[in-house]
Amino acid sequence: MPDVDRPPQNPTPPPAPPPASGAPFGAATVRAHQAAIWRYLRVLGANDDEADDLAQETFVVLLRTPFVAVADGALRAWLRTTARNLFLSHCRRRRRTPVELDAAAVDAACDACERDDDGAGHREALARCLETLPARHHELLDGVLHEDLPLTTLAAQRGLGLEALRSLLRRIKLALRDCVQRRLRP
Amino acid sequence: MTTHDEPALTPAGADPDDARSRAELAVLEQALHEHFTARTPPDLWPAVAAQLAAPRGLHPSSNSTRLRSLLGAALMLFGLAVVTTLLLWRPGADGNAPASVPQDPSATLPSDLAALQAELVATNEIQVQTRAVWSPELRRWATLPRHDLDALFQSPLHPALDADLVARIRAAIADAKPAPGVGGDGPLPTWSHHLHLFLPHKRALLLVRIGGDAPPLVGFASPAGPVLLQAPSFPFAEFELVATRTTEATVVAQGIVLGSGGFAAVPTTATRMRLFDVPSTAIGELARYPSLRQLDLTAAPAWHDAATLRALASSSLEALTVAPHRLDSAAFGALGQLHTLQELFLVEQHPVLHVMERHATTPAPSLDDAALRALGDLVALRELSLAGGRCTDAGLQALAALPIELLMLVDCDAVRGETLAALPHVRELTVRGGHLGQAAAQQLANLPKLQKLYLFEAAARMPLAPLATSRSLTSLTIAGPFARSELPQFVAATALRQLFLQPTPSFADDDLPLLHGLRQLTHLWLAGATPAQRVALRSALPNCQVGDELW
Repeated sequence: MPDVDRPPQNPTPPPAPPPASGAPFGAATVRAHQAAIWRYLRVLGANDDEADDLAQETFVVLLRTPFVAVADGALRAWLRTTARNLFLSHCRRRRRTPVELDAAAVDAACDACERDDDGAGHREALARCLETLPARHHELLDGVLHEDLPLTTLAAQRGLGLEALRSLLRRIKLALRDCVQRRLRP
Repeated sequence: MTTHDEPALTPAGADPDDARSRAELAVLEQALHEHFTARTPPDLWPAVAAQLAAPRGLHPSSNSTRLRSLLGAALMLFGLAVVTTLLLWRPGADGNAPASVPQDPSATLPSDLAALQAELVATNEIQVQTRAVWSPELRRWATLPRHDLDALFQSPLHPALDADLVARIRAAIADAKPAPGVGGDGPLPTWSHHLHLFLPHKRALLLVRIGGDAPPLVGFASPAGPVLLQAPSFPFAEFELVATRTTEATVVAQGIVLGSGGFAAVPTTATRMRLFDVPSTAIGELARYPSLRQLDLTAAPAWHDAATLRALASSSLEALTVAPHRLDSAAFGALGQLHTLQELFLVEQHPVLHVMERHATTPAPSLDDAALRALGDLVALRELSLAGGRCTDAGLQALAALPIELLMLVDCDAVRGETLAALPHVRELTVRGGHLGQAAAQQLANLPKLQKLYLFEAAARMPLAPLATSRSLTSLTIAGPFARSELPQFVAATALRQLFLQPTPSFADDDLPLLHGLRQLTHLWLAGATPAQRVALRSALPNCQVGDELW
């Protein structure tokens, strides 16, 4: 994939310095954690707009709540718990059943993705892995994720049954996951 | 490109379908979505800042709205926090009322010193909050928060300790031992500061007393109560610097006046004030505070006489809190001359303590019908709270000309509620105790603006069916021995959206169908419900949020 086609890999503002004593949370805190919490909500199953709203609400709750620990690790865990609760409440209100994901496993997977670079390394590794993907598989992902085409359309275009297409997509994702993990391995 | 870099396809069923794998794939799918759509996380701060700055339905300078919000917040915690509040304080040696510790429903306190020490290792952050102030003039401690929920709506007065001090405190607690010979039934010390350690699902609270004329002390909060510690290396001297600054800031922000000399600590720009044992001869001091709008006199007995209250008429007070049992009939007459009052709280304690935590009410024999008639000229009064009075329906009727929107009646046992419809502006009504009957229910149903109704204890016994005919009621809270068989009648209450119930006794499974027809509800809180009961209710009321969490 040519570089010009790729989205910017590190579009979020750089992490802000730690908050000053006596004024524990504010713009710096929000900007230091917003990308991770937005992506965390997406991982849980929120769409883009929902992630926007729920991440915003998460930080509003934080800034209106006294006595939240400001140690970075504890704060991240607090934000994730709050975001998850807000997302589950959101699903209940809309009579929607969220995908069942183990909270601890999601936390661990997000930790592995974010590492100490806010996930930039993970995204870079994924981009490299996508470059090695056969063109037909890349086009398939583009059809699903970019063009948002129905799976039935994509299956018909490729002369596949729906289940066969789903199986192929899953195999592609497993392969990409393994590729990214290999690249991130020290 | 090396071979190992190529993403080789594996059979779809080869990957174990375990939690870790699903989570990893979810992370990958998010990353793929971001890659292919170029949709990246937005900068949330402008929207967050705007939302924080927006009004939350509260009048910023209003005491009443804060108190009402506290009641609302307490109701949100119904059954989780307030009802299960851990009373950590037995009456202190100084006679201060017991105080409770704010509860995070998802948090648990360390059960013993070892658990506390383990939690201290896990955090580098401690925030400090002033809880009591020593007055050299009064020779006693003054406990600041009237209720712990106060802190939810106060500006941040909780600085974080610096890393060096945290490390020293952690080391001191690591070497600490439970203090021998304490923990019996005797009075415990008043703690001047709380040191908060918050973690996602745990929290810990160190308790410190520093200042006054006794040696400093340290302890911690446990589910069984406070535990005093022997911590010889605790850095009291260093902590005192932070404690003093925090206390000074708190005194200024809350307008705390301790004794006649206490005015010196409060800037003349103060808009609110709470007096502790200030002699009435100091009333001239108020002339230096032209912006003063809120005054709490419950801890200043000398300011409850008629002459002193009459002198307040020259101020522009909008909100006043006094202990009604300290007032005589002449004093009520003086209150009636404070024509700028918009909010009058004739309650000894914080309203949340009265209605949610069922604190006893001191009888106020002078709070009778004549007293209410004396208030009949408070033409700006929007909020009125009465506790422990002998007033009757006739007294309430004497207030008919006032624009009262928020009314709270606590243990006013002579009120039957048969003239409530004479107060047509009421939109929120809270009643604890009393003897409300069929006529009261009909009166409430006819109040055209009544939106929120809170019934506690004996008030919950009132007939509920007439309320179902209200066209304005949107939120109903009932805590006590109410007639659950009447709940299905509320299917006709088309405006009702929120129902908070704390039934005595708790609902059995057979009771749940009583709620199944209330499909207009958006929020239902049922205290004491089991998880299985909540699941059943969610299934029966799919459009309703069945509460079991803060949000």
